[in-house]
Amino acid sequence: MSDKPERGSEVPSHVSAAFLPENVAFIGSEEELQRIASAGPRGAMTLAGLAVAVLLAIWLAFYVFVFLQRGTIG
Amino acid sequence: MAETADARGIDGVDQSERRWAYVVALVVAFLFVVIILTGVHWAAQPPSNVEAIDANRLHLSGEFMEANLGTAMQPDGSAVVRVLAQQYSFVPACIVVPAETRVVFRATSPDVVHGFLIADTNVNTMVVPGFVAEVRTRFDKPGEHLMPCHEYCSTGHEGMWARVKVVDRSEFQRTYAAQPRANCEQR
Repeated sequence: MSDKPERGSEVPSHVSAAFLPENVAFIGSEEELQRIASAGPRGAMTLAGLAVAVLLAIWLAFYVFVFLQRGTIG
Repeated sequence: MAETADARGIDGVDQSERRWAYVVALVVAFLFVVIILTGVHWAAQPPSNVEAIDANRLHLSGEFMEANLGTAMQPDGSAVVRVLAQQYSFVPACIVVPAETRVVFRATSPDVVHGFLIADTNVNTMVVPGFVAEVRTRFDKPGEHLMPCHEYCSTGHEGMWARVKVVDRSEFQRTYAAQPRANCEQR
């Protein structure tokens, strides 16, 4: 006999937390929501900008302090 | 939820996405400019010498016969180093070159593909049987570099490595100039 529970047995069907309004719905007025949304995703832009800046800085550091230091080839 | 019309452009693309696309385009353009400047101004280009040679007759005659392997000083003051990469050694196993001198490495293989890499430098190329790999470089200061084969060439691959000894120009003249094809294997 298989250990896998069968459909319709006593195991309740799973519902994601994202389906529950109390977990994901905006708590506030429609005007407040409009004001926040119209300002744009500033947090996401800051995070993405920082990540790209760090990546570029590391690339530049390797280019200047490792690659260029190792001399020319041709 | 109502459409946030003031955050969108006329074609429906979010302004923040447009700005981010400009940032990414700038980053890509910057990287291209650096790469092009490095290649044109600094003359750093990947080794791309295409020169065929008969891999079956290397030891019999021509440029890569045994007596011709090693470092040969040229009339223009540069050094040409001829190296044979074979299962499982480089010949010569100890290469000696003068510092602050233009050095041309020419390498080939009689058997399988090998790798030619000088540690702590940008010298890095494949050595393919039937072709001559050529890399031009310059060592700024004396020192010793490991030169391992970095293309898996069969069971003895891990034991295939050589040394590159960079010596002062005057020391090279004093110690090695008497040899027509210099190397540091006996020293």
